[in-house]
Amino acid sequence: QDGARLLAAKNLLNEYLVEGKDVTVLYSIYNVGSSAALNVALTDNTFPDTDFNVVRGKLSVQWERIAPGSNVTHSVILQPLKSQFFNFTSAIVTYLPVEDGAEKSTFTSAPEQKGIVSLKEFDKRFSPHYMDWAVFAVMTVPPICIPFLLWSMSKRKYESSGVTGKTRKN
Amino acid sequence: DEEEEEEDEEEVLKSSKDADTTMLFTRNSETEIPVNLPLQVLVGFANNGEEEFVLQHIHASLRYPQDFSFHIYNFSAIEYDYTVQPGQETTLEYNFQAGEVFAARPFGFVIQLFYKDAEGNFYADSLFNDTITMVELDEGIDTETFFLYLFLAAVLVLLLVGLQQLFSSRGGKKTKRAAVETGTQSNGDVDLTWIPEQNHIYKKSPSPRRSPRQRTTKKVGSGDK
Repeated sequence: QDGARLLAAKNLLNEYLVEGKDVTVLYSIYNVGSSAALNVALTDNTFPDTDFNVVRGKLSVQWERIAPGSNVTHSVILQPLKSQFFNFTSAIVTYLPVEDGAEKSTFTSAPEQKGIVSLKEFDKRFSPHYMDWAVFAVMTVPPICIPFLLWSMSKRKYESSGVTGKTRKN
Repeated sequence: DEEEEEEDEEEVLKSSKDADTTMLFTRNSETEIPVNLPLQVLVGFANNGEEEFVLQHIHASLRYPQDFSFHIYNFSAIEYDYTVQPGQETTLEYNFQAGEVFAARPFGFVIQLFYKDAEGNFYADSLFNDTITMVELDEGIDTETFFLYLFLAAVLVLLLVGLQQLFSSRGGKKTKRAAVETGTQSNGDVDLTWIPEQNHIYKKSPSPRRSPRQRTTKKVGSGDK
């Protein structure tokens, strides 16, 4: 009724947020208004340099125009630097609902407080544990090989001395 | 008792004239709701008044389609406690997933936003209030059933292999026994060339087990003489 109306969502696509591993943040902006939104700018200042590294993508983007009934998405890949509870809050979207109108701003939805797991904890649960299995394999060698060697030695001894014994049985 | 309060409230509470709300299903249409799928609802809230609003929670429920006051199922409410200053606009996200039991039935579907103003007046806004149909999406090949059939086929093959093994081993035993019997009967006719030479030598020398039989044959022989 009164120009463009934007709804903006901010979502984390990763199930687990892990220190030092990539986290994908997806921004989706939907125009539910009656006309195109102009000069749309998305800015996210909620990732401090001390807590996050930007791996790929930009935390501020612009679209010249978002048609009514359409949507745009934008994603950024970040790396959390610390394991902590982090409050993911809203990014800001500014736009012109009508041409020559006043600029409006809206906040995106917020994923809210999420725990960032430490790499050590994550590995404990999800790594393939190659090293552990290798150690396990080495540890299993003595209890299998020692009885086998004893058996094969006694067998060889028996065979070398027991040719007569064997044939006597026949 | 809080839930009861809310249910009482929703009959009474109205939305504020200073609040402007919109809502959007991002993954489904407004007439059909797929079951077993995480769904997202975006709710826009604009504060056009002079005072701030505090958005408290969003709550979705399934109602009896002929009587919307009859609750069939309540989805989890999500708490926000989000303050919207005058002139501000924001988006809230409500996520829910309908269970399989609701598939292929019509329901009254109501999504409500509860909020209050600075003076402590409570408001509720029905963001969505309509009859919808729960649908089960056809996903082509269902991996779960596919692997179930694969597993059943594997069990069947294993059973056949086991049966075959059982019968062949029984048959084998019988023939072996027969061979042994004939072997003992025709002791003298056996061709022993396949046995290595040195073993022949040992065989000829009298062994304690063989000696009685040999003695008997000798006796017979001597008797003949």
